Amino acid sequence: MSGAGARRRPLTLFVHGYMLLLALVLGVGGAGIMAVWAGLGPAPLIDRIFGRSAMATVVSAGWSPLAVEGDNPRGFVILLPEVEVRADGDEGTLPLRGLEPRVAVAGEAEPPPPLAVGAEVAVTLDGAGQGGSARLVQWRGRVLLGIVIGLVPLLLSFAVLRLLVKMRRGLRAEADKTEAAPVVRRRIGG
Amino acid sequence: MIRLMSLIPLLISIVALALSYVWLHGMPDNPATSLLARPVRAEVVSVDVAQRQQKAGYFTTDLAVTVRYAVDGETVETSVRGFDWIQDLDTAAAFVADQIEDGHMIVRVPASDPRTAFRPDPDLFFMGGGIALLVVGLCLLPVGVVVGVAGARS
Repeated sequence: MSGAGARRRPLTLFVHGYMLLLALVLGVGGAGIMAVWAGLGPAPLIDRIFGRSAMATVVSAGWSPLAVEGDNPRGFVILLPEVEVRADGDEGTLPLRGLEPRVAVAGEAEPPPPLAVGAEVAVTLDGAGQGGSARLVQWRGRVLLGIVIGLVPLLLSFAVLRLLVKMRRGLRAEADKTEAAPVVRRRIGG
Repeated sequence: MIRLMSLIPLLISIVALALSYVWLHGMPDNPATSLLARPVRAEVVSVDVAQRQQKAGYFTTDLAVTVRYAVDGETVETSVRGFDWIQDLDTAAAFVADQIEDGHMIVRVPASDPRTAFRPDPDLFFMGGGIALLVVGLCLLPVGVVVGVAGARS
């Protein structure tokens, strides 16, 4: 019994060391993926959670056209939103990010502006002073999906660590049991 | 025979690891490994959206963004990679509206090849699938080793 246990030992050590390594790799990788995705996109989640959020008034709203080239018989044109807002209590205007573009047909009536002038929107402000921008407060499906994908390896790493702790505890309990066993057997046999 | 069959878990894990390498790094035009590259704020030189007629009533969309950035004291002008899977006008418009701000956008420049610029967000489908394959491969690797050793000793 003890001979078999000694022979199995290096393999057990290898498996346990590997589990620790696996948990570290999955944990660091998952947390890194979550951190990167939280900072991506026109309305980063990290700004939404930690940044200064404020109400802002729309000063001007309109579309900026981007021509579509190539085979374009229907005359499609991409309309990029161009909205300026003034944060409540601030002086200058800031460009608003995170609005949806539209695809329109040239020559037809332009769609109404993305936001009405004078409307109040919740924004996060980044880059205080000149050159900054206001970012519309919103949840982005793609960013959230990226964070969920990062969450999976992170949770798996916790599961691996928990399993590792349980296995080490089980080994210790087994070692205690094998020492106690001969005494019990002698009593029954005697 | 048993020795041969005890190598199956090791084989599965090696195949899963190879496939995950292909999914995370080899195949997609904006691979998940580009997340490790340095983000650089680049000046957008031109944005070209073009429709291409494939059949009588079927059009696809090409998006090409040329950026200029300085790296290691040298100015690089290159086309951003990662738009191969953009097929319709709405997706191209969403990318332009989301990523280009004041004529600038963030690109990811790998240290090994600073003349290549990737778009900042990798492909979620390949990233998720590649991570799933990587987890399967890494979890089966010790199983494969233990079973292989046990089979060799039997």
